[in-house]
Amino acid sequence: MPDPTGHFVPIHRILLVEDSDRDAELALDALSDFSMAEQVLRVRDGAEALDYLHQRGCFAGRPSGNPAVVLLDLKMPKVDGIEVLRRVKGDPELKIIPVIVMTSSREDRDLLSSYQLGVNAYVVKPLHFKEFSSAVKQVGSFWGILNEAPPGTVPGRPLPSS
Amino acid sequence: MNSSPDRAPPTVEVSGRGPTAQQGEATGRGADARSELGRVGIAVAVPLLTCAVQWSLWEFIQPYVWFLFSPAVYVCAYLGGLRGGLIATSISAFLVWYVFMPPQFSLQVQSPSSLFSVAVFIVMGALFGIASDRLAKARRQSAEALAVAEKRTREAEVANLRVQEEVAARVRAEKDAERKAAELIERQVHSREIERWSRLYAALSQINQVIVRVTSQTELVREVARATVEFGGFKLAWIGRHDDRTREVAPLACAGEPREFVYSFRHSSGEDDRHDCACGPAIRNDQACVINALTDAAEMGDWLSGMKSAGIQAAAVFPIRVRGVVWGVFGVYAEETGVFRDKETALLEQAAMDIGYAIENLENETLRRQAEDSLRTSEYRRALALDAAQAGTWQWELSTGRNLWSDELWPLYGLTPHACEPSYEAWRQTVRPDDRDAVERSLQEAVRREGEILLEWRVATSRDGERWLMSRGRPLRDSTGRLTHYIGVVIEITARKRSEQLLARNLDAMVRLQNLGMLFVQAEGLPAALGEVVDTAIAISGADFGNIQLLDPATGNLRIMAHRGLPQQWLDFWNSEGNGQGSCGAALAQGERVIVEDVVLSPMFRETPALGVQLQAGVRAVQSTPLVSRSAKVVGMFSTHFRLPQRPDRHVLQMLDLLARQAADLIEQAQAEGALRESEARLRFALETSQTGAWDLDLIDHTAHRSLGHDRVFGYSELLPSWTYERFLEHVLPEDRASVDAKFRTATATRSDWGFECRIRRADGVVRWIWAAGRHVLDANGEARRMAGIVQDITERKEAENALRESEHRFRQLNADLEQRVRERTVQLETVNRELEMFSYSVSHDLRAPLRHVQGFVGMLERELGTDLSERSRHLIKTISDSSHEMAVLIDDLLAFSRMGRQEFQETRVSLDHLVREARNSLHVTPSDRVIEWQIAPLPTVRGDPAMLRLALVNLLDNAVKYSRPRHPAKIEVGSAGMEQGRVVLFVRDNGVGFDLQYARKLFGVFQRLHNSSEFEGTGIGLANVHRIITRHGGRVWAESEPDQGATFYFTLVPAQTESSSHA
Repeated sequence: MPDPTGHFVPIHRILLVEDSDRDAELALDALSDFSMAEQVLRVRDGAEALDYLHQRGCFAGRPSGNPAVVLLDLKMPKVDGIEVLRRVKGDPELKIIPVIVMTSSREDRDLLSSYQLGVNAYVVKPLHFKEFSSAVKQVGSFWGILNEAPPGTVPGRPLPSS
Repeated sequence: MNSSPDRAPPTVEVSGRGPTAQQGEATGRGADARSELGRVGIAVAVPLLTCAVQWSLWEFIQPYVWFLFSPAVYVCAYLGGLRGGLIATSISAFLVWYVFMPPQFSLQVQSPSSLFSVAVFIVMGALFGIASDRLAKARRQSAEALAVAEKRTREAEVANLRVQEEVAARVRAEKDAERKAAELIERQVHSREIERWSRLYAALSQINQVIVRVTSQTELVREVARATVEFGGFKLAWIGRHDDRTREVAPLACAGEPREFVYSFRHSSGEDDRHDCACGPAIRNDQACVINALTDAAEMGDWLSGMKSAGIQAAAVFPIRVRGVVWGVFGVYAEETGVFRDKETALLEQAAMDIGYAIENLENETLRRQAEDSLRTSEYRRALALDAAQAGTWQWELSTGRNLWSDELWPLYGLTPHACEPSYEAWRQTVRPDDRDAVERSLQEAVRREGEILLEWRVATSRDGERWLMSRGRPLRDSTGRLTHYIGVVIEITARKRSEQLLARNLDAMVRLQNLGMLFVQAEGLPAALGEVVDTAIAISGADFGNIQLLDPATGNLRIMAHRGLPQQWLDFWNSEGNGQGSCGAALAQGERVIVEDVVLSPMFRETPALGVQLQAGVRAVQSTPLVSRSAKVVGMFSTHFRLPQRPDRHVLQMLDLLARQAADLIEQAQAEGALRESEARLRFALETSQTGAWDLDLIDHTAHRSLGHDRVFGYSELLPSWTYERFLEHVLPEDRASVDAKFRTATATRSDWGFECRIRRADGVVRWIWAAGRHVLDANGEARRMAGIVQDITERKEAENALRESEHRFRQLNADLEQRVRERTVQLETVNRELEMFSYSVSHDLRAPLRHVQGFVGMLERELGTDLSERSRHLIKTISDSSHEMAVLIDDLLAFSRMGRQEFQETRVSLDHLVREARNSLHVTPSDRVIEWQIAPLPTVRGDPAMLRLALVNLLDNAVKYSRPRHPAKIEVGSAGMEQGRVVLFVRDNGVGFDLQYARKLFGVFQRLHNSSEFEGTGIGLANVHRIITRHGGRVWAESEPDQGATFYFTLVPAQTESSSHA
C-alpha cells in the first residue's frame, strides 16, 4: 500500500510499546514464528504510542486504521503505560482497541489501576526464556490472529502458508 | 524456518523518509544536456558497430548491403529523435556506399540503382527520424501534463488535510470551551462550598471564644447555640441535657427558629420514641446522626413535620460527651439539603467535643469554687460560734473535791441542771469514754504542775450528734501561795471542730479532684503509664524484653521503674552495682541512643560482670533510648532487649524516637503533677498552722481590740498598744487599698457583712495575702456600733492556686505541643513510607528486567547453537540461567518481606484450622516420591491479620516440607501446646534434618541460613518473615532442634475467645 509520498508501508497490526531494546528484541524473536514480527510496529515510550494512535507528530501521515492490539509496557520514560491506558480507554474512538499490559512485575496497585482503566489483559513477563517466548507467542497469536479485531482495525494479510 | 540473532529486526524506523517527488524532478531537468550528448553518441556509435558486425558476417549477408543498417538507423532515430536519425542515416549511407557497395572501399558508383537505394535509405532515415522525434515530443508533453496533474492532486490532498486539521482544531476548541464551562460551574459549586466552610470555621472559632470566655454552663450553651446560628449560617441550633434515668432530653438553650417548637417538644432517647428522628439515635448510638434531606426520612412524625413547616431541610445531631459519657446533644439544622457532608460533620463533631470538654471544665471549676466557698463560710461560722458561745463556769475545790457548776454548764455537759451533785466524778462520766483517759491524764498533769488547765473532749451522751467541749481553768492560790482552787470556763467548740474537719476534707477533695483530672488526661497514673511505655517500646521494636528507668536528679542515678520479662537478679544488678554502666549508662552519658547489636562482641560489655548478667537473662542485643524532655533535660531512659543479636531498623528507631519524646513529656508532666501535689500539701499545712486573728472594731472612732494572732498576721510579734482602721489601711498595698476601703464603706452603710482578700505589706516588709471578714454587732438598742471579725494569712493558698493555674496552663500547652509534634511526625513517617513504597515499586520492575534479558538471550544463544553444544558449554549456560533465576527469587522474597513491614495490620478473628488447610494447599507441589504424614491437631481461633498469618504458616510448613526431604516418610505435625501469658502456644514440628541450637539466633534474621543452597534451596527470608509477622501480632517465635532430630517451631498468638469474653 503506497502512502502519498510513494513509499511502501507495511501493515502494522500489533503496536508494541516497549522502552527496552532487549525486551523488544526478545518479543519480536518470539513473534517471528508466526511471521507476525513484520506486522509489529514498535515505539519506545507512551508519548510515541499516543502519537501513533492519534496519527499525529511523526505519525501524522501514516495510513489510517487502528492496530489489532497494543502490547503495553508499564514502566517507561515520559508517558508511562498506565497513563497511555488511561488516555486510550478515555478516548471514545480509541477505547475499542484491545490493550494488553505486559510488564515485569505484578504489583497490586498496577493490577488494580490497569483493570480499573479497562485493560483487556494483564500479562506478567515470565523470567525464563521459554516461558517468556511462549507467553508472547500466545498473546500475539490470540490477539493478532485468532481474535476478531474491532471495526476500524487495519486489515490483516493472509498468513503465509509456511 | 531459520532465524539468526544478528538478523536485523524488520522494524520501521520512525524518522526514515525517502527522497521527495520534487527532488526527483529537479535532478531530471539537470540531466537533459547529458542525454542529448548521449543521443548523438548513440547515433555515431550504432552505425559504426553495425558496420563492423555486417563486415564480419558479410559472407552470409551479401549482397544485401542495407541488411543490418536499416534496423540500426531506426533504432537510432527512435532513441535519438530527428537529429540522431539524420546523423545515423548519413553515417550509415556513407559506410554502405564506401564499404559494401561494389566496388568495395571506393566511393565510386557502380550502378544508378545503388545510387537510388542510397537516396531511398537517406529519405527513409530522415522520415523515420522526424516521426520518432514527433512521437518523443508527444510522449514528453503527455508526461508533463501527467506530472502537473499529479502535483495538483497532491496539493489538493494537502489542502484537504489542512481543512481536516482545522476542523479537528475547532472541535478541540469547542471541547476546551465546554471543559472550561464545566470547570467554571465546578468552581462556583466549590466557592459555595468554601463559603459554607468559612462560615462554619467562623462559627467554630466563635464557639471556641465562648468556651474560653464563659464562666457558667447556662452562658456556655446559650452562647454556643447563638454562635452556631449567627456565624455558621444555620437555621436552628440547640443544646439539650439528657437525663439517663427518664431518657428525656431537656433543651437548655436554643437559637434560631423554630425556637418555641424546640422548647415545647418532648425529646427523648428511648427506643420506642418515634418523634425526634435525629436526637434519639444520636444518644443511643453515641455518634452523630445526620439527615441530609428530611424528606428522605422514613416517617413524617410530629417533629419532622414541625421542622419541615419551618423550612428546615437537613438536620445533624451530635452527642456531647462529658468524661466519656453522653451528657446531652448539640443539634444543628439547615434550610438547604445536603449541607452536612463529611467535612462539615467532622467540624461540628469537633465543636460538640469542645462543648463537652468545656462543660467538664466548668463543672470542675464549680466544684473547686464550692470547696473554697465552704471553706470560707465555715471559717466564718466558727468565728460566729465562738462569738456566740454560751460559756459555763466551774469552780473546783482541790482539798474537798467539791465542784460548783454554773447553770449554763449543765446543758453543755448534757445534764439536767442540778440532777446530781457536781463533782469530779460526775464530770468524768460526761466525757466520752474514748476521750476519758487522755483528758484525765492531761488534767492530772496540769494539776501536778499547778498550771493552767486546757482540755478538749467530746461529750459522752448527746442526742444531736457529736459535741465537742473545751475547758480552760486557772489555778487559784491562798495567801500562803498554796494551790487551793481551780476556776474555769467551758465552751462548746463543736462548730470549730467541724469546720476544721470540713477544711481537711475539702482540701483532700481538692487534691483528689486534681488527681482525677490528671489521671483522666493521661488515662492512668504514672506507673501504669510507664508500663505502657515499656509495652509500646517492645511492641515497636519487636523486642523480647524491655524496661524504663527514671533519672533521679538528686543522685544522677537511673532507677528501673517498670520492666517486662526481666529476672529479679538482672534488675537488682542494674539498680545497684551496674548503675551507670552498659548501654543505658552510655546513652545517659552521651545523651543519645546506644545500640548494642551483640553484647558478646561489644567492647562495652567485654570482660565486665554486666555481660554475664545479660547472657543469664537471655539478652543478646539491646538498644537504649534516652528520654529527653522539652527543656532538653534527660528525664530517664527506656531500653528494649532481644534474645538474638540484631539491630533495629531505621523505621523502628524513628518510632522509638517518637515514643521517647512522648514518654519524656508524659513523665515531665507527671513530675509537674508531683510538684503540684507537694504545693497542695504545703497549702494544707499552711492553712492548718496559719495564724488567724480576731478583731473587734469600734465603728465610731475606728479603734480596734485584737487578738495577738491578728497583730502577728500584720507582722508584729507582740500585741501593739493600739490599732485603728486607718492603720490597717496603711498595711494594705496601695493598689488594693481603694477597693478594700470601698467595700468597708458599703458594708457599714448597708450594715451588711464585710469580706475581702487583699495584699498587705507586713511590718517586716514582706508582702502577704490576707483574707478578712466582719459582721456588725448590735448593741442593746439595736444599733451597730461595732464590727467583729477575723483575719487570716492566705498567702500559701494563693500561691498554690497560682501554681495550680500555671501548671494547668503548662499542661495544656504541653498537650497541644505534643499533638502538634505527633502530627508532624506522622506526616514525616507517611512521607518515608511513600518513598519506601516508590522504591520497592521501582525495584520490582527494574531489577527484574535485566534478569529476564539474561535468561532470554541465553535462551536464544542456546537455541542458536543447537545440538553442537558441548557438555561444558551446556553447563556454563545452565549456571548463568540458574544464577539469574536465584536472584529473581531473592528479589521476590525481599519485596514480599519489605511489603510485610509496611502492610496495614487488619485484626480480625482467624480460624487457624482453616488457615493451616489453606496454607497446606498453597505449598509448592511436592514430587510424587515424597511421602509426608501430616498430623494436624484441632487448632484454636485467634485474633490477627489473616493474610499475614497465612504467609507465616506457609513459610513454616514450607520449611518443614523442605527440611524433611531426606526422610521416608516425612512427618509433619501442627498443634497447640498450652498457654503462655494469655497467649496460646502453637507449633509446627518435623522430623527433618534439624539444626544445631547454637545457631538458633541466626534463624530469624534476614538472609540467615543454616544450610547451604546445594543441600536445601532458599533465600533466608522465610523465617525472618515469620518472626516479623508473629512479632507484629505481639507474640514470640522460637525454635527447638538438634541436628538430624527434626525441628519444632513455636509461636504464640492471642486466642479469640478471651477477647470476646473480656468484651462480654
